[in-house]
Amino acid sequence: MTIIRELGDYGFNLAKDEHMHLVFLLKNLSGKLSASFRLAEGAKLQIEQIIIGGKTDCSLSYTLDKNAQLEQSNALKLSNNDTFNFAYFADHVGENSQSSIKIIGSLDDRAQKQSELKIHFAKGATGAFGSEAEKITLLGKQTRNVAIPTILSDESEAQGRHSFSSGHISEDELNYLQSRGLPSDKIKEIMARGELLKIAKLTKSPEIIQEFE
Amino acid sequence: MRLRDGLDDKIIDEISTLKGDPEWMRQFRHDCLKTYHELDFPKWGPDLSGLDLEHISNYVRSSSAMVSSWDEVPDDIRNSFEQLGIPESEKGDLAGVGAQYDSELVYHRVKEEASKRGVVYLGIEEAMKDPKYAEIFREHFMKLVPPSDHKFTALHGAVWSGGSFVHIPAGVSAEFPLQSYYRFNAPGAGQFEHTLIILEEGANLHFIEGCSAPKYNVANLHAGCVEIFVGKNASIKYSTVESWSKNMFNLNTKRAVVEEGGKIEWVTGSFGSQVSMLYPMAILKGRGASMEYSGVSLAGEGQDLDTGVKVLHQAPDTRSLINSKSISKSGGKNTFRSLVKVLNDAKNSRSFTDCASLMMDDQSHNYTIPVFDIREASASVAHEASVGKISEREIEYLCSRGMSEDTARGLIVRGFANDVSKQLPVEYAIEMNNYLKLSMEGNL
Repeated sequence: MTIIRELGDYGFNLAKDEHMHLVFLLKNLSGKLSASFRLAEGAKLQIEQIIIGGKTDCSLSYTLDKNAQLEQSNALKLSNNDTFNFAYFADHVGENSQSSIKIIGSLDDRAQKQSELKIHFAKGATGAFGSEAEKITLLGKQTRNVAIPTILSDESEAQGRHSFSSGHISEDELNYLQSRGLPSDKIKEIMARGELLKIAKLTKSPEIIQEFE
Repeated sequence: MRLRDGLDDKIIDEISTLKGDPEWMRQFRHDCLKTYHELDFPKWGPDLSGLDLEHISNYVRSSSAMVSSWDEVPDDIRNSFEQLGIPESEKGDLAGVGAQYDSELVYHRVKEEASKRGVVYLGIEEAMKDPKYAEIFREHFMKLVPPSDHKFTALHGAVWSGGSFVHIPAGVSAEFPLQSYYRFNAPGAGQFEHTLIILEEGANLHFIEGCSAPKYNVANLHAGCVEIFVGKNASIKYSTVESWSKNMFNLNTKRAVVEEGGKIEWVTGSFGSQVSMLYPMAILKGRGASMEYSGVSLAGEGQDLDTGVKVLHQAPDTRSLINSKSISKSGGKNTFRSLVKVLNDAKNSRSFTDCASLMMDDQSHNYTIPVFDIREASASVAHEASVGKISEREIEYLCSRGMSEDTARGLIVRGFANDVSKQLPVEYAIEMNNYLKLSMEGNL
């Protein structure tokens, strides 16, 4: 597993059947992160990305050959005037390639997030499957959550799915926790960190999990 | 009569004179022309390079004046509408019918019962000139869709002709639907009808719009405009079954503003045209206002249909529900595009978007591009979408019951679109199913 804690330009070519596990930990950074990945036949890439605060533009693009697999999980916790602009592009060029991206997290205060998640099935990518799922909780009154989940299909034998939800802490949850003596700020903090911890646990790294416990 | 191709101030003056515009409208048209020249073609969406606006006539009129009896409509025009079953529909459950042929209305009539209830259904120029409606017309015309919206609304403002004006007074329910039908017969020309609908508090209406044209080898342009003002607790269902010919650029703009407790339902079937860019929009302005959109779109050979919906949640407790079905076949390209925008203070608003796409073969293209912009923390917005192929197992099952493969495919597609067609009155649902059937067979 490789852990990246800095912004910058990255490029990775995964050879045939190569497996790679990457973790992006971006805490209170400002600037650009750009990374492109080429997954050769049968390559597997697992990415966890955790974003806390900052003003970040992030662009990740993937080209998936035959039987290549990508699994990317993202958690974010933004508050104050934080911004996160995220462009994701999974280009399925090979048969039976698979991609999955998940984003969970919370926005508080005046934080803004924009995600442009794009899956493309090129002609010939028969049996390919791509999914996008995003679930964001809005905690602050001045937040802005923009999502553009796009599926572009030029191959009839491929399947794409996306789901998106933007919501808030339910009154029931809030009342329950407040009746246990927790102030609302603490409740927000617990919920936001809970989302980060879910993704941190996917790394299976005790060091990273400890950072979010 | 047909005005020369292209667009300049002289043509605008000719149109304005032919239509007997009041002076303010003549000036409005010239202002729109100026805006039109200032704006560019959209930089996104389908390829519009086949649309040469210098070689399109923006006004074509048959020799017939508008009448209120089918017997007075010239034979050739009446035959076109009879083939489409319009006079027959009027005898059934419709409160009124308008029929436009090229740039002008040729027939407009509202049934006496509806008229007695206060339902006003007029040719739009009639409303503009009638002292009883001139003020309300001017107050509303192109206020919801400003000419500066995009190049084709500016063009529309400059050369608009024909269309309908509907006014439903407070508390009146137009028990039966009104229908406007647009037939476009002239090759290499444009149709720019304007529909203006005003529903006062508690009013109710179902408005049906149909469109068709014969196919020519030159491009035709349809850049109509629909503006709907939905009063407090009023409701409207606006249904469109569109089967333009495949040389048509269909660049229509539709928008509604909905006051407190009001509701708009868009029901749309898009089957025709070479290129469509059509995204009906609802502005949910009052508390508890709502919008529902149900659309089915089928793109076949040579077609690029870019359709969808936009909704702006401006007030608390507003609701929107979007249900879209897209089908592409024989190399057709189908794009679903939507925008759900929830402004700050639209507290407890809810929106759900469901879009499903079917690809019938490996030559076709299907794109899904929804946009969500959520600025209110208490809003709940959700979305689901899927793109996939028709199920081979379902086809095999139906074939094992004795159906041919083509029949099985047609049946599955009609089932896929059933959510939308069931929103229509039965005779229009049958019409939509027929379009689906003909499109699937490649006969449309």
